[in-house]
Amino acid sequence: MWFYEKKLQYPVRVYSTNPALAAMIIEQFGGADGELSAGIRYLTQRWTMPTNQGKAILTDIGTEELAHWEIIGTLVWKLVKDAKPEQIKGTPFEAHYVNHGKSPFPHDAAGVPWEAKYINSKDDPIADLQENMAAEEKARATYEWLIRISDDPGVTDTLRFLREREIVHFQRFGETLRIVQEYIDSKKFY
Amino acid sequence: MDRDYGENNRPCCPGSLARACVPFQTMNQVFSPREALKAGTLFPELVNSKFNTGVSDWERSWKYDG
Amino acid sequence: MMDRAQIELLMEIMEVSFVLDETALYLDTHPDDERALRLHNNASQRYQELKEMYQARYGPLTNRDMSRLPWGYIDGPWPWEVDFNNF
Repeated sequence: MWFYEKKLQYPVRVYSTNPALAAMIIEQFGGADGELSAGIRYLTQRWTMPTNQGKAILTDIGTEELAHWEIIGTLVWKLVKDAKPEQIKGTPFEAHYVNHGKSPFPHDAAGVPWEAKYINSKDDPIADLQENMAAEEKARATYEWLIRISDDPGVTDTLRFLREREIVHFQRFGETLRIVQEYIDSKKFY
Repeated sequence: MDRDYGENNRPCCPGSLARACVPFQTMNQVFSPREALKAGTLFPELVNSKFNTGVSDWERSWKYDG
Repeated sequence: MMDRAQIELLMEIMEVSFVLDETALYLDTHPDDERALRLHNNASQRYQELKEMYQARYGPLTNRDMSRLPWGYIDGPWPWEVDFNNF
């Protein structure tokens, strides 16, 4: 089961009010390669992943991704919490605002709502782990594009942290793939 | 234990075709807690500050090698 | 909101907690690494100590921890409200 600890994984600093930037950051809150996709994907795959190591890694990385989802929501909220309506009008955040006000909501930067089609769980550990490795690279790439367009140093710093986490996760899924491959190979000889 | 291989028995990347292979990390030096949080990892060897510049290696070499 | 002393202690907890996030992932794929396990256990002990210190002064960090009256778990600032900008 899940516990909640009253702290963020990373100290999020936001130095500006910038609804336009918030509308882009939200890509990682509800987009295809974002943190919600990652968390739900890994946690969904747990039931049919062989090896205890595999189940542990999916549990721990999946849980960490939800903590990242919380960080992204915090970035979005801090960027808009002090925004007056005049600052929101004419920005890509305006369409979000008329539906959700200042509440973060899981859709992507183009407004497309999150859907389970972004994830898969195939009851095939090789397919699942390869999907996870691809997901980590796509998330890393998305962070690199976001870092390019961010003009708030606190936001950029948090994005760099999240980008580095994707690289570490890729390494762990790569190791898990080796462990699971060895396990499957060892079962082939009776 | 559901593994037959020990920590040191894994070849870097065995020669099977049609499978991906990531080398195992071996923990060496670690950052202090403060440095680790700033860097985004406990392990210096996993720090990657190489950003994709948007130009592929192929394009780069074609341009400059004539 | 939070005074400097509280943020400093919270930051220490965040730092040690992050070490544990990393050692846990490493140990998940390297369960026989003795050095890593020692590092993890030492960090875990330090984390417990820091948590006790923080909670004695500022109240529970989880709804499983003890509290004075009134129930301190609900107190702000909540994590997304903490201002780290000057830190």
